[in-house]
Amino acid sequence: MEISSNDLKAKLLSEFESIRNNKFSGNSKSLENIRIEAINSFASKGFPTPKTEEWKYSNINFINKNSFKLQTEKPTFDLVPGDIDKFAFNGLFENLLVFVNGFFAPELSKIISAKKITIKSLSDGIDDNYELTEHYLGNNSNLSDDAFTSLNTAFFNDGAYIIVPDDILDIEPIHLLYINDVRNSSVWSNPRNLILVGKNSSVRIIETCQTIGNNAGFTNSFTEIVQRPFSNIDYYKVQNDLGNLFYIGTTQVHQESDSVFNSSTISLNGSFTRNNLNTNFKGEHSEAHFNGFYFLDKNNFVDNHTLADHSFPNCNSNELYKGILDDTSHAVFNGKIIVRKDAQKTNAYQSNKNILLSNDATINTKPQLEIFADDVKCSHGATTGYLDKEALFYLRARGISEDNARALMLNAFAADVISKINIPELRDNIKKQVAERLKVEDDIYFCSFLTD
Amino acid sequence: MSLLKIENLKVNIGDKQILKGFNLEVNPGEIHAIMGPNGTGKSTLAGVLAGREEFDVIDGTVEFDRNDLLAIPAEERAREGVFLAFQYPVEIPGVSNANFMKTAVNEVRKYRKLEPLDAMDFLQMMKEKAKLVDIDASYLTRSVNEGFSGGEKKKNEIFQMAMLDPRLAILDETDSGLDIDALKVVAEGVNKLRNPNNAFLVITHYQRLLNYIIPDFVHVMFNGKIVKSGGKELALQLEEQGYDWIKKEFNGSI
Repeated sequence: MEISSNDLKAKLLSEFESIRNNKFSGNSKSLENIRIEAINSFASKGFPTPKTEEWKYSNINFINKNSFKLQTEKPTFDLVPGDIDKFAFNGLFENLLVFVNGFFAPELSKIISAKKITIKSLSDGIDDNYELTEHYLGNNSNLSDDAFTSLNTAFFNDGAYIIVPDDILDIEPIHLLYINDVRNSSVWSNPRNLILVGKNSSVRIIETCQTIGNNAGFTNSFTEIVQRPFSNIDYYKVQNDLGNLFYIGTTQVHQESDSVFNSSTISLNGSFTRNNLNTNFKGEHSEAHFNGFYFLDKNNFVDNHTLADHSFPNCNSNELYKGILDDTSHAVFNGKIIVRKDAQKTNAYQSNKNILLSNDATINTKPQLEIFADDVKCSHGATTGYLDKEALFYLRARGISEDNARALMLNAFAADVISKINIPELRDNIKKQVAERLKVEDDIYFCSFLTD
Repeated sequence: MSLLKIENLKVNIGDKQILKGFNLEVNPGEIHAIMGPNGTGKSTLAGVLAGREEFDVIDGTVEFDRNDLLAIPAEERAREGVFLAFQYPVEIPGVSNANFMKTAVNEVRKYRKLEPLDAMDFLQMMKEKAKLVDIDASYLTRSVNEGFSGGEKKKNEIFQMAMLDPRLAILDETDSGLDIDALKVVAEGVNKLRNPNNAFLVITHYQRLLNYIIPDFVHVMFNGKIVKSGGKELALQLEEQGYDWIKKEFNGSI
């Protein structure tokens, strides 16, 4: 049954009132105020429409069409670790934090680095140190423009709370896994994460989202990351849900001086995927590397919106997003770079390359450069095309079938983004998934023989 | 029994006729050189034999080992043992030479109902064949032809030929853009691969390559067909006299 955006909005507002009267009482007054501020922001703006510039190509009709049940009470879990084993990355020894319908599921999680860092659910984190958490949870005034961020703030139940002290280098990767248990009904969950990484520390984060069951799942996640000077973060999002997942996720990074943020956003499946990845440079000599690869078919939709906001001098941002689109799939890339007045000596590069395998696939790619400083190096480029016919003929002229020739070339197209993943088990897993989908033998191990 | 038999081949590109009744018969163990001025249809001939799809064959037949070559797609021709050394080898970023050749060799083996080579056997084979054309093993891990010099690209063609062990190899202006050292390496590679069961069609504008690859037959192609055939001395005559006399002699009559 389809519901109008206005009716859905009214429903959410009244739902907020009823939770406010019951559930939020345990939280501090100021957190409640943060939530009220957020819901008021949503109330005044409403859902984005096709006229909203940032959502021009992302049709969010799905929220009207699926009667998503907003998760307000902790469900009784009957999932066991065996149900989620298939969502782990083979051979990877990792911290696993599992959230089911937006609530922390300790019995499915596995925390191995608790002696070195603080790693727990956000609700526990708020109890531990509500001054700190509220400082960050309420510090999103620059983002309140976005309806889904407001809704996340208003309705989040839980998420990850990770505090890495200074000088910590050897932590196992941290995997945040959001499960939408949609066996009984459609689910709307709002995971919220807060990650603080201390000076000289290094951490690797993986975010994935999956559905279990046949109904639709909607995850609206928000991850906030704060990097102290000289810290290093590798941040990966891997999207490969085979169910009926609708996903909107925002990652907001604050980079203090001399910090490095590396990310790869890999989208291999999903009905609707919107990734917002924003970094804000808050000190000099920092670097952000945004990499992305999307491989879509059927009616899949992926929208990558990135923002590199340079307000300090001598920082670098570098983006490479590549995509392969088949059938009637649709991808959007919107890369925004802001170089503010004082951000002299900024280097900002951006590239988006697409291969269309079908005449019915669509790509909308848009660079947005706003430069207010005069001593900067910025460039952007976008290409969209079909496979090189002469190269295909060359491969076929050596006896390789047309299908295998295509697969070899597409695998090669994907490889330079995937090879930037710094967790070997994760990298190999993605390579293997892409190679399997292309039915091509992965040559990476093979070539390593030769150099011996 | 001839390996390749081309009869009255007429080929168009768009509305323009390029091959105008081309005839040629090649037997196992033979090397045929096809010479001629630019724009006379030499590369079109090579492309048609290899299976390029942008050409329209409007008449004639091509038999390879008594089978209709024109009826099968490029990849199947390669598996049957037809090899084209490209005039302009293509760069394919991201696809390693090694994986390219492994895929190709195993597809050809599968077609010939042979077991695929395992990684170690394949590696051994690649190292041997690389030596034949004096290319360093490190090239094999690099992307196909990417950043290769002109000479390296042509050597890579001969390396691929050695790997695939064709019955008929067509060298399309392999000598163009080569310095004398690379030319010698390429020619030596061809001479080492030569045996009584295979044949070579060497397409060239200049006689130079034929100092190193000695042809059994030299054919002069002009305006879409062969106008003169002879032994290796014909190449020397062309070198001395150029193509003008051919043009004068045959321009009116065709």
